Amino acid sequence: MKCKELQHLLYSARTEELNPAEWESIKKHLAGCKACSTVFQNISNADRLLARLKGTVPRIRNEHALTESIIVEIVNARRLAADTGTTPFLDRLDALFTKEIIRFACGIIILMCGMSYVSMEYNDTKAIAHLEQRLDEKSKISRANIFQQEINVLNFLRELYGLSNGTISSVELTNTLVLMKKADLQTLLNGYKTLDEASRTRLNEIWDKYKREESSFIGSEKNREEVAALQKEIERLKKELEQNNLKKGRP
Amino acid sequence: MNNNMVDSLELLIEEAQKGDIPAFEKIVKSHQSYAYAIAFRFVCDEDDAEDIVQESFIRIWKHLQDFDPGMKFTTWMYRIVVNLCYDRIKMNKRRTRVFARLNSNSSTEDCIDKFDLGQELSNKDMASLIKSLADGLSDKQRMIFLLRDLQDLTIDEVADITGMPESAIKTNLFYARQSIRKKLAPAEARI
Repeated sequence: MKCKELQHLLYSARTEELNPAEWESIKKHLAGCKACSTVFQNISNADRLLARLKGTVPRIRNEHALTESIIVEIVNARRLAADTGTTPFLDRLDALFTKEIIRFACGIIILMCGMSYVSMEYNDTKAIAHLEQRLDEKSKISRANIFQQEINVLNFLRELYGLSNGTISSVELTNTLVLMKKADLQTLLNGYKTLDEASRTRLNEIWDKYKREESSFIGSEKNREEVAALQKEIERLKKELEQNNLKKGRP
Repeated sequence: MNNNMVDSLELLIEEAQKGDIPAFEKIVKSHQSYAYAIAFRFVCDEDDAEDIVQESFIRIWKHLQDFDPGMKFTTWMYRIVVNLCYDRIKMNKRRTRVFARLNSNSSTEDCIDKFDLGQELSNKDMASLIKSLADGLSDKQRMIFLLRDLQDLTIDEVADITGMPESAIKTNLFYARQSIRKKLAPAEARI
C-alpha cells in the first residue's frame, strides 16, 4: 500500500470501519513509514476529540417547557379545527400533497396539459400548412380552368369568324361574346341570318361543344368559392397564431 | 431501545394516530432530546434548535396517519428534523449571514484552545467548536458528518434520512472527515 492510498483510507474511514485485511495492511505500512505514522497519530488524536464531542449531547434548556409548547400548539390547532368544523384549508392542502399518489397524479396532469398545449400549437401550424397546400392546388385548378375557358371562347369566335368568311365586324364579335355569356344561341343565329344552312348547323355544333366544355367547368365556380373559403380560413388561423405568439411575447 | 420500549412506542403511535394527545406527549418526551441533538449540532443555536424541534413534532402530529409502520420511527422523525434544519439554515443565510460573521471571528485553533478538555462542554462551547470545525463544509457534508460521526447512525440510516445514495454519502463523508480531522489534528498533536 502506498502512502497516498493509506492516508486516503485513514482520513476517509473510522478505525472500526476498516476490515481486518485493510487494518493488517495499514499496520504493516505504518511499521516502516514514519510520515504515515505521524499522520495516523494525528488522526487518532483528532478522533479522540471527536469522540469527546460525540459523547457530549446538547441539552435542552427546559425540556418540560419545550414539550408543553409543542402540546399547546397541537391542542390549539385541534381546537381551531373543531371551531371551524374543519381542518384549516392550508393544512388539508398540505396533507393532500404529502400523499405520493396525489403528487404523482398532479405531475401527470401538468405534463399532459403541457403536451396538449404544445400539440395544439403544432396542430395550428400543421393545419395552416395543409390549408395552404390545398389552396395552392385549388388555385392551380382555378387558373387552368379560366385559361381553358378563354381558349374555348377564342376558338368559338375564330370558328364564327371563319364561317362568316371574314365579314364579321369587331362590334359583332363583341356582341357574340356578350351573347355567349348569356348563353343565347338563338339571338346569335338571328344576328347571322346571312349564314347558309350548313354554316348554321356547323355553328350549332360548335356552340354545343362550347357549352359542353363549359359545363365541365361548372366546378370552376365551386372551385372559386372553395378557394375564397380556404383563403378566409388561412387568414383566420394565421391571425389566431399571431395573437397567441403576441401573448407569449414571441415575435 | 429495547423490545419493551419499541412495543410501547408502537402502541403510543397507534394511540396518537387515533388522536390521543397524551400518548403523543409521551412520544415527544421520549424523542425530543434526539431531535434536539441533531438540530442543535446543525444550526448551532439553542433558539433555532428548539424551534426546529417544535415544528418537527407539530409536523409529525399532522402527518402521523401517513407514518409507515414498516419504517423506524426515529428515521422518519430525523428525516423531518433534517429537512427543517436545511430550511432554517437557508432562512438564516438569507436573513443575516450569521455563520459567515461568527466563523470569521475566531479560528479553529483559538476555539479548541478555549476548551478545558477534561471538563464537560457547555452548549455554547459545543456550538463554537462545531461551527469552527464545519467552516468550509457544505450543508450536505456537515449534515452527513453529523448524522454518521456524531449521532452514530449507520450509512443505511443516513441514506434513509437524507434520501441520498450510499456512494454520495461516502464521498461527502470523506471530504467532511478529512477537513475536520485536519483541523483537529494539529491542535491535538500539541497536547
